[in-house]
Amino acid sequence: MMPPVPQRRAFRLENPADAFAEYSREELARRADSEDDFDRALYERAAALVLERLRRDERETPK
Amino acid sequence: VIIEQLHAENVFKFVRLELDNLPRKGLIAVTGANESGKTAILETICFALFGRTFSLQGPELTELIHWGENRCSATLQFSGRDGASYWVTRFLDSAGKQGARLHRSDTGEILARGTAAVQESVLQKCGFDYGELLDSVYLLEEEAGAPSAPAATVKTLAGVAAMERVALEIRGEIQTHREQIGEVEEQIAQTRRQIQELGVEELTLERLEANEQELLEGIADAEVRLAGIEQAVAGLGQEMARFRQAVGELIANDQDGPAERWLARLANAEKALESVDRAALCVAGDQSAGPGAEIRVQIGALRANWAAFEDLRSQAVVQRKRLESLLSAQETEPSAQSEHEDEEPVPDSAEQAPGLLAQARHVETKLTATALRRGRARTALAIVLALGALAWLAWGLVSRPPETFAGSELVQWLTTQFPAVEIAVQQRWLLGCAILTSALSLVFLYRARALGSVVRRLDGQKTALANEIEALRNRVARLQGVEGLWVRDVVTTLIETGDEEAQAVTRAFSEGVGRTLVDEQAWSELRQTIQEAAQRYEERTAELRNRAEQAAAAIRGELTALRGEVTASGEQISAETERRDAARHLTETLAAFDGEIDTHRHEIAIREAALSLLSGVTRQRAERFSADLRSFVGRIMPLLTEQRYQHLHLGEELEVSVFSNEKHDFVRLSELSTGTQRQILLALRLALAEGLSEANGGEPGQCILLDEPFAFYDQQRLQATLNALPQISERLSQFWIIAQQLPAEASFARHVRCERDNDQLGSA
Repeated sequence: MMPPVPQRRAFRLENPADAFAEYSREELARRADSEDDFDRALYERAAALVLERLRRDERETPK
Repeated sequence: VIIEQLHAENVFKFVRLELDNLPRKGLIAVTGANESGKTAILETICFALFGRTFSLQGPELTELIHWGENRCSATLQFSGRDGASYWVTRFLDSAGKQGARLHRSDTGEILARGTAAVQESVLQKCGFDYGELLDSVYLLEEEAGAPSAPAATVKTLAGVAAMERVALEIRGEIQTHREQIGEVEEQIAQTRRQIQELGVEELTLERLEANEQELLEGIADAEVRLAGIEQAVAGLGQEMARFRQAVGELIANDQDGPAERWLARLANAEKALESVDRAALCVAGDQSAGPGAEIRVQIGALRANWAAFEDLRSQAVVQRKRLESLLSAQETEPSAQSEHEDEEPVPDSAEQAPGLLAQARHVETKLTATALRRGRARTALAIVLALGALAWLAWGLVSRPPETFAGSELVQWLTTQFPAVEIAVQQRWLLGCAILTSALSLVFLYRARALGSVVRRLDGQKTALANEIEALRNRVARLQGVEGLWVRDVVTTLIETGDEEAQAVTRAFSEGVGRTLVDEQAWSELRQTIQEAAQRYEERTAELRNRAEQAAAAIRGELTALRGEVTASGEQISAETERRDAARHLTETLAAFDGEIDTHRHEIAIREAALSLLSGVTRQRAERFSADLRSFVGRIMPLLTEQRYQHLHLGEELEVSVFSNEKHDFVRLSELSTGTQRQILLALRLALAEGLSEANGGEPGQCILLDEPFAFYDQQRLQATLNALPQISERLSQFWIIAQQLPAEASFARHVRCERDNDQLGSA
């Protein structure tokens, strides 16, 4: 029985956009909990901007 | 994945390429001069597995077809991660049409057809796709030789290169926004200079507008005054014409008209005088300047005359109504005494009676009743006289001797009728009756005579009342219509009424206040006086009108001057408004600039936050990457560096540093020699490949494709590396090494020699 192809490599990140989305979600939640003056809306826009750029980079960068 | 055989036709420079029975372990050296086809072998392996090469994909892929041919094919036998052997075959024609097939080597079972299906199956069998091949087991010549390769490669391998690119792009955008802020600030400064040059003062426009408003109010006031004067002058003219007509009618010599007409003329004249006075007041604007005092006195005197006449005529009317009341007053109720006709009082004069007609009716009624009673008295008298005569006759017959026929018959009848009464008694009764009836006859006679006296007296009263009523009716008839009579007619009428009081009042009027109206000469003098007063009144009014027209001319001049000032003020306001509008527009522009700056700053804030997040995720991923590879690198790197370097560290930015046993400290990769850098990166690459193989699971055994990996190695380092490679890992077993030449003393499991002029390469 052939083992399944792993979805996450030890040496290579999963899709950068997905990785960033996960990180930003956790980071925003953490900072919202710990910082009183945290501007969540600003960071959500920033995260959306980065995600859009990462997905575009993924489409446009040759492998 | 272990490559077992490779067959190809018309690929790159090779018309035929056949590499059979490739060793599963050890070094497979591929050497040859430049353009001898060494790299083409590795790219043919890539094409067979993934349908593309590092340098060619998509429409450009047809460039891998050998020159002059229109199709090519490549067949690769490999053992997958499950240990089984597979054949993958690809075809490509010059039109770009590609075919693919995957089947098992032992059974010949076809597992997939078509490029998409084969690609999916190859991923399953190998455990990695083309991207992962480049990141791990395939070390490109460009990557191995490029000076900047280490950091970029590590970042690519760590998967943060995309984030770095995005971060670079975002930093560029931040810089752009900052430059744009600078440009906007310069525009703000320029705009402020323009606003300052306009020199708009805050209250200038308001002051000008207030001044203009004052001028407009002055114009409005002057226009109102002018209109008032013009209207007053026009009104004065009209009223004066009306007054002139009214005075003309008032002094007309037609005295035979009814008094009402003269009263109406007087009222009309007074009204016209009042209107003219009002108009004159409007023109002069001063009560004291009213010119109508004299004519008002004259008309007032005439009004007094007419008022006295009104009183006189009112008395005539009162007199008439009093007489009418005497005629038509209600009939008084007869008093209790009136039943006693002898004592009833009869009024001496008409004034004392409730009403002459009522009195006449009352007298008539009483007269009728009295006459009726007198008739009844006379009738009773006749009856009583007849009865007395009969009684006396009966008594005489009864009293005479019975020989007489008549007496004897009567005595006999009485004896028969009254047998119980003696004849002597009956004789006394008859005598009594005769005496009684004779007495009653006297009474009724007296009564009839008394009533006859009353009837005569009432008849006299009736006649007197009738005469008096006739006289009153004549006086009332004379006073009828006195309201519409001319003065002298009224006077005459009142004199002729015969009423002394009325006559006295009338004479007082005629000789006193009413003389002007009664006397012809006095009336003529009064008309003359009124006419002259009216003439003087008109002259004074004309003077007022002249003065008013002069005032109107002055106001017109004032208006002309004010309108000129308004025009000048309007021009100043227009210019000031334009300046203010320009300043406002520039101020709004400033606000827009501020908004732009805010927008840029907000965008910068967003991007700085984005960079913060990217930095965080990069750091996180670098740490994870470093942790993942540390154990692999720590085992492989000493073998490749002759135990000089054992520990590798990846910083936050994935910069590589290694621990130097000689320096007892971590040193950055850039501080090492180029050869050492390549050794360490090769160790990193092999660690990644081992990690990939381990992550894939399955049977050990993985090929490594190294294209010119030793360009910067000296002979000693090269030899040491060649000796170490077969021993570094149980999982990494098959090493393809592309080089122009390798040491002759090196030991290879297979050595494939390529020649520049040979387009066929077969197994040794």
